[in-house]
Amino acid sequence: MQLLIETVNNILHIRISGELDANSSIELDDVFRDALSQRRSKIIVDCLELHYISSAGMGVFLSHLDDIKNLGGRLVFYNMSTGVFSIFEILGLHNMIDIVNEKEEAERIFNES
Amino acid sequence: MKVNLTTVCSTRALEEIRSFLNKYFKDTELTDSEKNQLILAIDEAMANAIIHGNNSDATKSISMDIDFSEKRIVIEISDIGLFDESLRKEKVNKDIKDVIKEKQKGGLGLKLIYSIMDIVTFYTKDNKSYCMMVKLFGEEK
Repeated sequence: MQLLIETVNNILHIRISGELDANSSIELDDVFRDALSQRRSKIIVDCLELHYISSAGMGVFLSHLDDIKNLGGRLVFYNMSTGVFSIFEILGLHNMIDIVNEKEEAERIFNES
Repeated sequence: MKVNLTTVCSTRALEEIRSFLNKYFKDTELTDSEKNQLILAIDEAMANAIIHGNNSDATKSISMDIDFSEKRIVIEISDIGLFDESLRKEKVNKDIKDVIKEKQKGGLGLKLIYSIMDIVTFYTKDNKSYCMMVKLFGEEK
């Protein structure tokens, strides 16, 4: 798995490439911890190259969701494949998390809020 | 079609396990969605066996047996851990909103396994703990 991190207009962009499982999710967890410790809570995740996610990967997102909201931020996903979306769906998370089609839509959520 | 996979007891082996499963399911008549869900359920069970059943002890090995037929697939994994039935039930039945509120990272794997598979049983045999997961196809379902 590879992570590409950049901050644009106070929004943290995370591009995840590869497979997010019990082994690789530790690295992603560190990124979230670092961001939240610096009170950066506007986060957009590009899933275009994310080919697989296990419960450990889901757990990273969910475990930080409350802190993100408490800091007034949001976590938005875009470019999610049908396969990855179906895993969110199995857990009933697709209606509880912001998942949009394109980057512009994701950015618009922050501009409007 | 029976097959066994034995590999090192480390989360680093999970990618290899998924790659093995992708090849194993490649020529079957399962849909992409069925293949993806089975790989996810097996990945979750193997991760549990590595982390909870064997404390990620890379000096050990973990093993699974798969018996795949037209009507069903049966997966048996040894040293799965998670033997406390009440704890298993608690994890499976926990509302996802509570998982978020309690900032939990774990526990979602069992939820996925029970959602995907038709039968999940835990048992002991010759002093070893096992998990058996079954997915039924067609009229068997």
